[in-house]
Amino acid sequence: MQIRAASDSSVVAQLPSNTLAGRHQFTVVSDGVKSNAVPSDVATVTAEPIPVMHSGSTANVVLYVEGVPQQDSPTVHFTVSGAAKLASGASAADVPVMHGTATVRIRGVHPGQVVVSYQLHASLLGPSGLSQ
Amino acid sequence: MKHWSGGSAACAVMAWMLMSPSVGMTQDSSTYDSVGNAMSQAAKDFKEASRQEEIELALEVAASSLAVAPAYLHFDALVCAPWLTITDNIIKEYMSRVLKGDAGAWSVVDKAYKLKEKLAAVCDPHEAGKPEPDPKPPIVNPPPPPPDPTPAEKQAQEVDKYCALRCKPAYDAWKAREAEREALDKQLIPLIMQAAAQGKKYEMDPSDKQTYDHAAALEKAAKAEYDACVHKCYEQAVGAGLISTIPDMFSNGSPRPGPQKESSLAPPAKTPTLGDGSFKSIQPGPLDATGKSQVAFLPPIAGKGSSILAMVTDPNEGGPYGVVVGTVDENGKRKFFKGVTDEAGYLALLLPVGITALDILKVDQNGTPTSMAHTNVETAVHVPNTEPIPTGQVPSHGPAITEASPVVEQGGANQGTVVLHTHRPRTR
Repeated sequence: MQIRAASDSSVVAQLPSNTLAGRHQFTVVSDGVKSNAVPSDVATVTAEPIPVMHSGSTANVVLYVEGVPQQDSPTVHFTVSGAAKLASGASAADVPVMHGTATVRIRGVHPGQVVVSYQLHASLLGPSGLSQ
Repeated sequence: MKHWSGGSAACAVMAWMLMSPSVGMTQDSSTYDSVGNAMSQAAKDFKEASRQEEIELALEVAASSLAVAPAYLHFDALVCAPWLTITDNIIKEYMSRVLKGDAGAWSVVDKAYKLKEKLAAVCDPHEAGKPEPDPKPPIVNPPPPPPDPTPAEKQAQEVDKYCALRCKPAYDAWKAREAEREALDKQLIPLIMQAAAQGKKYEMDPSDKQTYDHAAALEKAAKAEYDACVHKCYEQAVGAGLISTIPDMFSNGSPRPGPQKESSLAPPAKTPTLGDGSFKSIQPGPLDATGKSQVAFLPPIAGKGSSILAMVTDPNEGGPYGVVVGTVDENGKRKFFKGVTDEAGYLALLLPVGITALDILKVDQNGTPTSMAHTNVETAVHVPNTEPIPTGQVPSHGPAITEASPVVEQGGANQGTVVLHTHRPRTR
């Protein structure tokens, strides 16, 4: 890992790009003293291409998530803007990852660029993670 | 058309300007050995007050080795630093003897100057036209760089680079003063030689002596300024936990001398600072406009007066990078500063008192700044996008992680980073 930023109370560290997906443990060492080890899920996320859309047409946005076990409650927060909206008419939705897949349906509303952003969330406070 | 973006944390991503990348250096082992051996001998002779002839011989051998060295030869600054220091010390000592009337000492000075010219041709990265500054203070017997440094050694190397870069203005000021003093040395040559030829002791004209003494004092003050800068930089690196101790070469027991206080000696101009860092205060404008592909990292939270390690990278360009830093004080007043990272993109700074937020900014073509990375100073108890670690798993002594990213997405908008909320309980 490489330290990217640090202060007296927080650290940002970048994982090597070849880090395997799955559960990892992280510690910090200060003056030769090692901290507690904390778990974190390293995930890889890939997206299926979105088909060409027209005003009024719908399409699925499919994300494949690897590395986050189901018991860590992986969820993807989708945000859609530009030439499309979610099929529900909203601009954002939280979608649980089921069997490594998160899918959301979008609808074209006018010609132009469709911008789909996502943020992967999980919680390690469940049985497999941090609870004692 | 469609566009994907995403990730598990909101890390700012933006572009910025670049400066020249470093240039690789080569060194020839046989020349290195012969010059190194000769310089070691010169240092030994000088230290043990050996006969002048022995010192001259060592200087001649080193110069001869360099004279027949291949044209491509280029020594790393770390290797050259002790050689240049030995040569400088010999020049100073024997020049002082010359000025006291020992015309015979000039022979050593002359040989040392000739060697120094040869060394400057293959060593000194601060000479004009050399793009990669590496202002190392005098070092004795530098170890060869390890082929595969440990993470701690890598960190120490980054600190070395940062301190060298941060203190470069002071180094340049020192070297400029040194060059002025050396120019005066050389003006004295014909006068000294003329006096020696006449069998007389050279007596310096009082006004010339005043000029010379003034130049020497300015050089000494500039050197002290540089020493103090380097020492302070390493002190802060220790304080920030980047390295465990100040390197021996910078911590010789007594504190490094500060600038001379004589009224006739104006210390080298200081760059305006952000806290104790070398930053220039600016009001962002179109001339500060940045590129579009940079990524910046700041710690999400920090305590008052904390040392901060930040980083800027650019997938399209190498470092060092210019950086615009913004601060917000307790009254909501914003200030902007411009600084520069080291070659690897790292930037260290000490938070000024009264700061509540720190940003690394991108500046658009209109001069409008927007944040690429943000630090809350003493205003947040929770780090966004992290989960608390159960109290029972947090040690009560020593370093501890109290919050951590539950998930890290490889290659996402947060660049595959894990964020840790840390603290170090005071145990004394």
